[in-house]
Order: sequence, then structure tokens, then C-alpha cells
Amino acid sequence: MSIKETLEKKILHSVEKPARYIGNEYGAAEPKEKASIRFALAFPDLYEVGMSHLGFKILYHVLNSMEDVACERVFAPALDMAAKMNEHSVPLYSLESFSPITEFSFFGFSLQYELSITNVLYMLELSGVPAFSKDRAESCPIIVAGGPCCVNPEPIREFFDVIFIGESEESLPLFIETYKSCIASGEGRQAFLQKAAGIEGVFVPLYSQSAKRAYIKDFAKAPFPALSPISNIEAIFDRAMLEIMRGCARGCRFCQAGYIYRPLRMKPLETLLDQGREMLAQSGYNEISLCGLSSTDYPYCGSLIQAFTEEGRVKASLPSLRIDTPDLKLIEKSVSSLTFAPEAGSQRMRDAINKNLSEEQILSVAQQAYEMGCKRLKLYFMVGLPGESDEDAYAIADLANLILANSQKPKLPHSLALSVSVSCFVPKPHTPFMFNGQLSREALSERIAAIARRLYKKIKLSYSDPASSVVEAALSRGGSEACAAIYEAYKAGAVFSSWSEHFDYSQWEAAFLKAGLNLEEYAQRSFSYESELPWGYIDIGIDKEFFVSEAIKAREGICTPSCFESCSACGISREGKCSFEV
Amino acid sequence: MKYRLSYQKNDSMIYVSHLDLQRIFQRSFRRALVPVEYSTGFSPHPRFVYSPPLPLFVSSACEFLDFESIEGKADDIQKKLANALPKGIAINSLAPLGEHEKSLKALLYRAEFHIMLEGAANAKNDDLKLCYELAEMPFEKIGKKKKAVVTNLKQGAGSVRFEAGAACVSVYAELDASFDKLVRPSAFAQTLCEQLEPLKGAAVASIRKIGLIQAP
Repeated sequence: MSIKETLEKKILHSVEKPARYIGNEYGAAEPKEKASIRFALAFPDLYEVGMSHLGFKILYHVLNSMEDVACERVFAPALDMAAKMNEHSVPLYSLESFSPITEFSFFGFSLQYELSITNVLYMLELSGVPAFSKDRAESCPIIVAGGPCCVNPEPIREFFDVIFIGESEESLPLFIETYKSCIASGEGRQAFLQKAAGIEGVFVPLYSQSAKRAYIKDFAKAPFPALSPISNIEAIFDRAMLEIMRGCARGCRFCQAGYIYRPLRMKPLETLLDQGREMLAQSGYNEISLCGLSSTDYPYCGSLIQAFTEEGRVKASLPSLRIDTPDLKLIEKSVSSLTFAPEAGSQRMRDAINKNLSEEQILSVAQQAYEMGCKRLKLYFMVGLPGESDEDAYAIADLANLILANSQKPKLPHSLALSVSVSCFVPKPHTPFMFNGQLSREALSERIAAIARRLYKKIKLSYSDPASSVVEAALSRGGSEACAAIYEAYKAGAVFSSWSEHFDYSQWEAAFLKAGLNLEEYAQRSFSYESELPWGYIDIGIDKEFFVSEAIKAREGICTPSCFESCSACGISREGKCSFEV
Repeated sequence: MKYRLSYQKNDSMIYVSHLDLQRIFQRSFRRALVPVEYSTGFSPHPRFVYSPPLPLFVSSACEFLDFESIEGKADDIQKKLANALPKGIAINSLAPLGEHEKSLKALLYRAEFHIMLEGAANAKNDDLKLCYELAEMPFEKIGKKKKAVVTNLKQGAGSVRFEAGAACVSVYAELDASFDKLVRPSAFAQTLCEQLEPLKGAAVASIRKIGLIQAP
């Protein structure tokens, strides 16, 4: 019985959301029977999550646009499905042709968050592929990783044969061409890996000593998927995603994406209008999201929204809204529900993280939004930022309380439902805060509890679990010794750890202990400015000296202006002048 | 102008729920560039009338969707739509709906389902028929007040016919399938396997809605 038959006859009737596992979406690539290279592109989370990821769609498009290459999708099956697959001896398979992973040349994972790493091991085991690179045979698919977690390859280096650093739209095709030529000349796996190590943006743990991240220089011409597979069941983000810009000019000191995707690049308005219209027409979506790290910095953001929404019944949305957005009304036609991220409560902390926002700005925008008809306002904050005191945490509650109190002054017919979301800061590599250790779990919990006590009862508070942030912190700045801890955690049953219902701190704590590490201490360790960092051999394009100077400025509460105002000489402009003209 | 689309739900579309199917149709019409009438109000949505929800895992040869469009020719709409639908939804017909034609609510009464049962090798047609005539078909479900309610599925069933083959038993059952009253074919199949001695131990292999029964 084929995999598909087994699924239909034995498995799908008894699992939750069977449509996750059967493919057949509009826009999915037809299996290319004559393709000489088969690439299984994997997202180590559930179908609905992976199908919502823009980077995944771009790479699927890039690979399938190559002649001779067939790229097929693979997602992590939920636990009920995995149990059924094991019961009926069905290995992990691709959604396009229902082929077992071992039939592919490559098995590539998109690593978007640290806790998804055990799902990679889970998917490798379901595929029958050894977890460690050193145990893989010549005929085994080459296991590849990419995505933001890869800017520190150390904690994952033993699991992957190849790790892509930076943006891989251009380096991936080069990598595949290298493989093709190796196959043509009869060279084996090791010879290919040695050659691949020479490609910019490719790190081969076995052969590379260092790597420089790759990025798209001519962003206007970046590969663009007009049509990606459209999920038959509802994806988390079920809409057209138009990437209007990449990188960010703001320089918030906690934000890894703000540094690793530098320089800021924006697509021309005409290109975006054409691409957005094509996407909407081909997909049939009635919503388009204008994606970017700080979309409202795009000078013609309002024009884009206007153009897309006036043509038919289309809604435009923005993933992020800065408080200093010049004209709220232009951006958000319907302001009934808005989300802002002041990130810190006190001015001192906002300066330390370089948020470049004053309390007056926050209060006035919140009030303006409310008077424009905003009924639900959500504010995002972080606790545990370097240099944060108890008073800084209290200031979060005070600021939210003040916003609510202000909204009660004018007598408007509607009231403001204010909610505050607090997450725990996780120090990340390639940011000015990479030297700092994480605050302890107890201290994080106490700060959150203090905020909860001070907040007015009418304000709804939600917060992230400090325990999972500790594991994230341990992994994000981990060294190669964390590989063993990850493996132990997986063996102890840690899968889908980024889902709160599956996350078990004790599993991770025990796993780190088995690997000879104390989890909390590991997350809390700080590095001196002079020390060799575990990820120090990865050249992201930004000088370490710049991060050190930013870390010192953070300590002193000095802001760095955004790249729009003046160049902060981070080092990226050596590679190509930053230009912010559209 | 009002139109009636008759379509089939086949293959892997049987794993797609009614709610997801509605999203699929809305997108398919947009992809096909077939402009449809929208409801008015705060959150306008296409004025689509669907057949009652088909349960998961049940395929169908006869599902319906009524819609309004200012687009002219039914043939053109059908062609455009056929290219925009995902595989597994096949169009039977698309035709303008006359003023005096029955609404879906009035049209849909009962449907004939073909239920394939596996694992009842020794069943004989006459035995099955006799057993069914004598059997009660009690099915327990959780009612609105979260209390178990037992219903007799025979009350929602018309003629039921058995065809015992070498490996499978085919059951052709006419079951209520209107907007107000419907018998879940999977519940009917499961109860058959529980209540009919020759079908004990059998399992449902597939269920397909194969035709409509007009209201008397």
C-alpha cells in the first residue's frame, strides 16, 4: 500500500485536522517527475504555522523556479498523527508527491524560533534520518538549516550538514548548482560539502571556520512568489503577504532582526503595486499584509493601503505599527482595534533600548486613537531588559494606568478596553545586548507579578512564561555544548516546546544537567566585551565594536538616531551604501 | 442574476470542513474574477447559499451553491470557475436560476448515500434486509443541554438496500439531508455495524452522497 493509500484508509479518519496531511492545495507545485534534484523544504511546526511563513513561501518559489529542481513541503505532524504514522510504519513524507524524505537529496529546515529545534530532531526521527550529522551515510539526504536562529550555529551545529547564514534567495540556487556539478562529475557527499563551504552565506560545520552572511543587494528584484500554495484549512496568517521592505533603520537594541537584516531595503512603489495586485488576483485572498519590520517607515505605506483597498473588497493590514506613525487615519482605516509596542514603561528604559519614543508621544497617540474610535488598545512591553530596575517594571503598569485614566476624561460613547502584554526579554546574538545574561526566572516572575498588582483591574494583562524564555535564552546564545542538551531534551520528550501546552521546563532542566550544564546559569551567563563569543566567527556585516559602543550607550541611557536621521557607522555601509530612497 | 452551481466534492477535499469550504469558494470566485453580490452591513460577505454541511470524510456527487452575479453567461462563469477551484471540487453544472425554481431549502429533502463496509465477508443480502427490518437503529448523541439523547435513525431514513460483495458490503441508504433535519451517514453506518448481526465487526471504508431524493 502506498503512503497515500495508507493515509486514506488507515490514518486520516482518526486524527485531528486531517487536511493538514494531504496537500492538494491550489497553487501547490505539481510534482516534477523528471527533476534530478529533490528538495524537501520543512517547517518544524504544525502545518497551519508553517503555511503562514513568508520566508518559507519565498524559498519554495525560488527552488521550484529552478529547472531540474523539485521542491516539496514537509511540516511537523501533530503528536496524534505521529503516533498513527508509527503504528502503520509510515515515514515522514512530502505533501506534493507523498514521497518519504529519504528519497530527497536535501531536507531543509526553516528555524524561526529557538524552541523549534527539538521538532527538527522529531522530524528527522520520523524520516529515519540520524539526528547527528556524523552518523549520516553517503546516501542520506543532506540536512540543511536556515533562518534567523542560524546566526549562531553553535547549539545546532552537530545536527546539520549545512547551515545557511542570512538571506538565502541567492545563495541557495548557487548551492544547488554546486551540488549538480558535483553529481555530474561523480563527486561524493564530502567533496560537495567542502565545495559548498566556499559559497557566501553557507556554513558547513565540518569544514567551515567562519562564514559571512548573504543578503540580497538589489531587493527590488528579489524573487517574489505571486502564488504560493493556499491552505485548504485556515492558516494562522491566512492572507496575501507582500514584503514591502527588508531590514529596519531604527536600531532598537534588543531586536535581532533589526541588525541581522540590515541594511534597510525598500521596494519601489510601482513594483509593490504590481506585485500586490498580482498576488491578490492569483490567490483570491481578500486581505493583504504589508510585511516589514517597521512597515509604517515605508514612505508610501498609506498610498499602498489606499490603492489595494479601493480596488474591490480587500482589507490591508500591517504587522507592526509604530507609535510615531505620522498619520494614523491614513494607515488604519478602521482603528477600532490597535496594537502598539512601547516595549518599556520608563523613559530611562526606552532610551536604554533605543526605542526613541517619549512618554508624551505614547500618551498622545493612545488618546488620539481612542478619540478616533479605538475601542481595543493593546500595548506590548518587555521585562528583564538589561539595566532594568523594579521601578522600571512598575512604570509599565503606571503608563498603562495613565492611558486608561486619560481615556476616561472626554465623555465619549465608547469605552477603551486596554490590554497589556508583557514578554520576557531574551538576549540574542548579534545585538548590543548579546553580552548580557538573562534575568533569573524568579526575578522575571516577580516583575510580572508586580505589574499585575499595580495595574488597574480593568486592564487585561497577558504575559509570556519566564520558564520558556530561560530555555530560549540558553539556546540563543549557547555554544556547541548545548547540542547535547537539545538532544537529551528531545529524548526526554520535548517536542512542540514553543507551544505552552507542550512546554515542560523540568524536561529541559534535566536535559541540560545531563549535558553537564545548569540551565539557568547557562541562560544568565554574561560575556565581557573583549571575550570571544560563541558565534564570533559569523560575520553579519556589523562590527563588534559597534555593538560594544551601543551596549555602553544603553548603559548610559544614550539614544542612537535612526539610520534615516544619521549614519551610526555600524559597519554595514562598507558592503554597499545604505540608500533610503524609494 | 441568480445562478445555481452543482458540484462534486471528491478525493482529498473530503478532509475539508464546511467552514473551510466556504473560504475556498470565496477565494475561488475572486480568482476566477467572477463578481458576486455581497451582503450589506458592517462586514459584507458574498451572498452564497450552500447545501447543508457535508460531514468530514464523506464525498459527494451532488452539492450545491447558489449565488448572484452581474456576470452574463453561465458558460463563461463555469469555465473561469473550473480553472480557479482546487482539485477535488468538480463542477457538474452551472445554470441561471429561474424565478420560479425551488430554493435549496425547498429542494433538499433526502439524499442517497453509498456506504461501503469492509470486514463482513459472509453477509448475505436477504439476511441483511431481514435484520435491518427487525432492527432498531438507536443512536446516542449529546443533546443541547449536554445530556445524552437516544434517537432512532430509522425515522430519518427512507429505503435502505444492501449489496453484499466478495470483500465489501455496499449499503444504499436514503437519509434525511435537508437544512432542518439530517441524519449523519457516518452515524447511520456505525449503527448498522453495531445492530445488524451479519455486519458485526465490519468497518466503514467510504461514504459517498450519490443522489438527491425529491420531496414528496
